[in-house]
Parts: sequence; structure tokens; C-alpha cells
Amino acid sequence: MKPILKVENLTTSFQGEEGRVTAVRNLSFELHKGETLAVVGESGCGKSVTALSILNLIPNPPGKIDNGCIWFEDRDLTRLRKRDMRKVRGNQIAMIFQEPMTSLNPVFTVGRQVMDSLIIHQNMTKKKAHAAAVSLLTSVGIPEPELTVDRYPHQLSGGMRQRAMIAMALACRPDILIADEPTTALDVTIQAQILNLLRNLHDEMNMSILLITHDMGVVAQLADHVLVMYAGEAVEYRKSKELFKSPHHPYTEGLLKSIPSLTEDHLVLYNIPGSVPPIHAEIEGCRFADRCSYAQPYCREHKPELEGDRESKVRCHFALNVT
Amino acid sequence: MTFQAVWKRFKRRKTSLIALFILLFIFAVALVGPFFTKYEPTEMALKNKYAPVSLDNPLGTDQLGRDTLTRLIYGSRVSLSIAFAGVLSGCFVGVLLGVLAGYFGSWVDSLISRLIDVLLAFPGLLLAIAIVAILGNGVLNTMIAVAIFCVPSMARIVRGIVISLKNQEFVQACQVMGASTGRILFRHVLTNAMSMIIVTVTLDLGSSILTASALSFLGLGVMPPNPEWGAMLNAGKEVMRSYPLGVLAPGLAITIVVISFSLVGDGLRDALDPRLKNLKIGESQ
Repeated sequence: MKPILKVENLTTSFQGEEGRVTAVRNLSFELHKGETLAVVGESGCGKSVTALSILNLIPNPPGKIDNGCIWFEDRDLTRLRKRDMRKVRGNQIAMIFQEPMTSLNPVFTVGRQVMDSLIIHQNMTKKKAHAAAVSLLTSVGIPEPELTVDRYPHQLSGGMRQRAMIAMALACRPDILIADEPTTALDVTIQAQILNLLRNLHDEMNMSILLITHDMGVVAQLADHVLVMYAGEAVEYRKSKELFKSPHHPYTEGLLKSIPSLTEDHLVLYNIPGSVPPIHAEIEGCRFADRCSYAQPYCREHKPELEGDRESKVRCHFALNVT
Repeated sequence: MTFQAVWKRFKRRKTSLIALFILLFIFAVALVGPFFTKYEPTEMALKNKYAPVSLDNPLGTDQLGRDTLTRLIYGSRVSLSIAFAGVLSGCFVGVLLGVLAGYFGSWVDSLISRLIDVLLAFPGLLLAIAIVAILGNGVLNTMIAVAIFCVPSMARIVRGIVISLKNQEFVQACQVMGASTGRILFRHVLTNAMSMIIVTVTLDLGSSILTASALSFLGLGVMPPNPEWGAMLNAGKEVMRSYPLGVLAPGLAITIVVISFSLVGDGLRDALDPRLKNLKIGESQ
């Protein structure tokens, strides 16, 4: 089946004070219709930059997509004209953010903000858009939608605002929803509700979700496939279930071990020693070698490539759990 | 924030409320007063000069026998229209420049900011005098001077607000939604700056009445015999001893209007600024 979104050799860099730094290196992945792909990794791994690159919203300057193509509906999004790109954004590819407190405009009612994309993309009249906004708010589980539609963001709780954000994003029934850490700023019970909502909407609308997160729990609940990123590179691509059962890359293993367990009796929570190398560091061998407990001298000299078949790829010379 | 919420908060400050009513009264007088005056503002009655306060001449007459109240009422029209037309057009340009500088940054910002710096480097009145000296006298040129006078401060304020707003997530959310730059700027960013703009316009109105009067007083703005408060002051100062009302009346009028604008501006600032949450529990922010 043809993927709905295909990222090929994406490289995005930023002009820093000490020369250009590469935030995303040579990243390739595919997203299929109706699939949920989770992109995981520590902070600074290039997850959000990947999302913004897809929407062609890298602030330029200082940022720039240096290389690569992003194929969507037989068009390369990196080479699309501004006007055409605007028609894609919000209409076919929508995004929700981490921080529902600040991602709504404080001076407009929730309803008007939901209506906005309908008016921009579908030329709806205000009256029709208002009715559509009410039904959208209903579908994301906001109580009293007829009243809430005329409320201002500050009158809503964090969870309600995130629901309103989701309603905004889904207004035009996009093909792809990019969710950039949608639950990070919410408390645990609300997190579960929002994840449930996303799953239900996903089943209902059959859209593809690109889920950016560092929360393995969220991944386990939603994702079909997982792309693990480390220092701007893809290090592992697997089916979600298999990844949790038998991680191939030492970094993935570390991430999974870092989840506190209820059944095992650990005194100290496991963590991966060290931190992500600064993105401007030029490393000859494997970028994870310094933090890897399995690293061999060979790893520091030879850069591993992302290898494997369509369903399972790993970037490691000594991949784990491989028979 | 709704109009009702702002009004509710504005009402709490009694001085501002009183100032608002004074201003509204003065606007009303300027608007309809001329239909009720017995005299023309430039109508001379040399037999009746320096008339004391009487029913016929509630504020007396000046050295040419012109009725001071009539001139004061006609003068309010001139002063207020100079202030409003000048401030509104000046602030419009200022907002535009500020938005462009703040949102686009880089060389656009540098260019506009240096221009603002140059304008701000002159003391306000000196700048106005220089502009009138170049353009010449008259009501229209005074308006232009007032307008230019308002541009730099407004541009700087708006630039600052836009810079702080443009990196907020909701602006990025708008981009993600597919909104165009113009829509983001004028619908989303500027509406958030609106409260500061309204406050600045109100305060500018007061100071530009002062500037316009000062120009006329110096003989650079509105020319006699046109009734304008500053020009009236200038004419009255020659005969201050024999007819003190000739300076007192326009002087007080200027003072009251300027103070009222300042008080209303302060009140609006408190009412519109969401950060000043001196609210009781249970009320919305």
C-alpha cells in the first residue's frame, strides 16, 4: 500500500552561534493511512523539528531544511509554494501542541477559533461554521458545547482546552494529525481521557496520527509503529508490540528500562547514563556509543546504518534480541 | 474580554469615571453647543469690550468684544478635532510600523527602529515646532504635526508587544492551521495588543491637545482670529490684568480636558490589563 506521508532523507539544520547545527539527520520514514506512528526519544532528539519540517514551519532563518523530500499526495511539501502549503496546513495536516494553556488565543472565544479553520479552508459562512463548531466540541467530549462555544480559553480547564485544541485540529477532517506531546502538560487522569479521545477519533475518522512523545506509556496505548530517534537520527523502527517485547537497539532498551515498574522491586530507577551529545558535535562512529553499555571499540570508529526490512529497522552493529 | 467586564472594572475607579463623564460632556458641547450660541465666534462688538460676566456674556468678552464662551465652545471643536484626527492617523501609522518592525524583525526592524529613535531623540514640542515650521501654519498642518508626534511612541510600544506575542504558541497554532501572515498579524496578534493601543491613544489624546494648544499659543498652529484654546490664551495674555477670564477660561478648559484624558487612560489601563487581577474570588479573570 502506498504510504500517505513519506519522509526521505530529511535533514534540517539551524544556524547557531558556533556554526550550523543539524537537528535532524537523514531521517526517512513512512506513515500509512489510518496508522499511528509514535516518534520517541529524549528531549533534543529532533522530534519536534521533524514535525515542524513536515509542516514547513521551520523558522527561517535560523533554520532550514537542507536536504530531503516529504511526499504527501504526490507532492513534495518541502518544495511547495507558500500559498499551496497554507492549504495543506490545518486542512490536510493538522497539529496539536503540548501546552494547551498557551496555544489558544486568549482574546477570542473557543468557538471562533474552531470556526477559523473552517472559514479559511472551506469558505463556510459564519453561521454554518458556528453550528459545525458546536458539533465538533460535542465530538471531543466537551460538556455544554452550546455554551462553551462562546467561552474564552481562560474559562476552561487544561483538559478542556486540550479538547478544544483537538476540535480545532480536526475541524477540517485532516488526513494526518501531528500530536506533539499532547498529554505532557496534563495530569494523569486527564491524560488517559485525552488518549482515549484520540484513539476513538482515530478509529472514527480513519486518519493517520504522528504522535510525538517521550512517554512510553502513551506509545504503548496508541501506537501501531514506533520510530525511536536519538540525536537527530532514527535508531530503530519497529512494530509497537514487538518493540516492547524485544528492543533491538540498546537505546530503546534503555528507554524501556527507565519506565518505573510496579511489579519489580527496584530501589533505584534505571536511567541511561550521560546525556544526548550536543547536536553540533561531529561524531565519527555510533552517536550512542558513549552511553551504550554494549559498546565495542568498533562502534566508535564505524558509523552504523539503519538496516533491516520494511517492518523492522535498527541502527546498531550489535543489535540485541536478533536471532 | 467582553465590553461588560471592562466597563464593570472601569466603573470601580471613581476618578476615571468622573473624568469620562466630563469628557463626554465636553464632546457633547463641542458637537451641539454651536447651535445654541447667540454670537459668532469672530463677531466683534467693540462697544462691548471687556464686558464683565453677565447673562448675555456668561464669561464676558475680550478686547475686541467677542463673546468668550462662544469662542471657547467653537474652540473646543478645533482643539478636539485636531487631537482626534492627528492622534488617530498618527497612531494608525505607528501601529502599522510597530507591527511590521516587531513581526518581521531583521532589516525591517532595524530600519523602522532607527527612524523611531531619530524621532524620539527630539523633545516632543520641539519636533512639533520643527514640523510646523517646515509645513507652515494652519489647522491641517497642526494635525500633521500632532500625528507625527504620536508615531514614534506608538510604534515602539506596538513593536514591543508584537515581539513578545509572536513567539507565543497560539501564533504558531495559527500558522499550523493555515492562516496567512496578514490574518495572523491583524486578527490574532493585533487584537491581543488592542488594550495597550487603546490606552496609549487615550493618553496621547491628552498630550496632543496640550501640544496643539502650545503650538497655537506660540503663534505656530491655528491662526487668529480662529478660535482655538491655545490661540485664545495667546490673545488673552496681552490683557490678562484687565480681563483675567480671557486666559483663565481657555487655560482651565485645556487643563480639565488633558487631566480627564489622563485619568480615563489610567482607568482604561487598569480595566483592560489582565495582569492587574485585583479581583474578588469567584469572578472570572
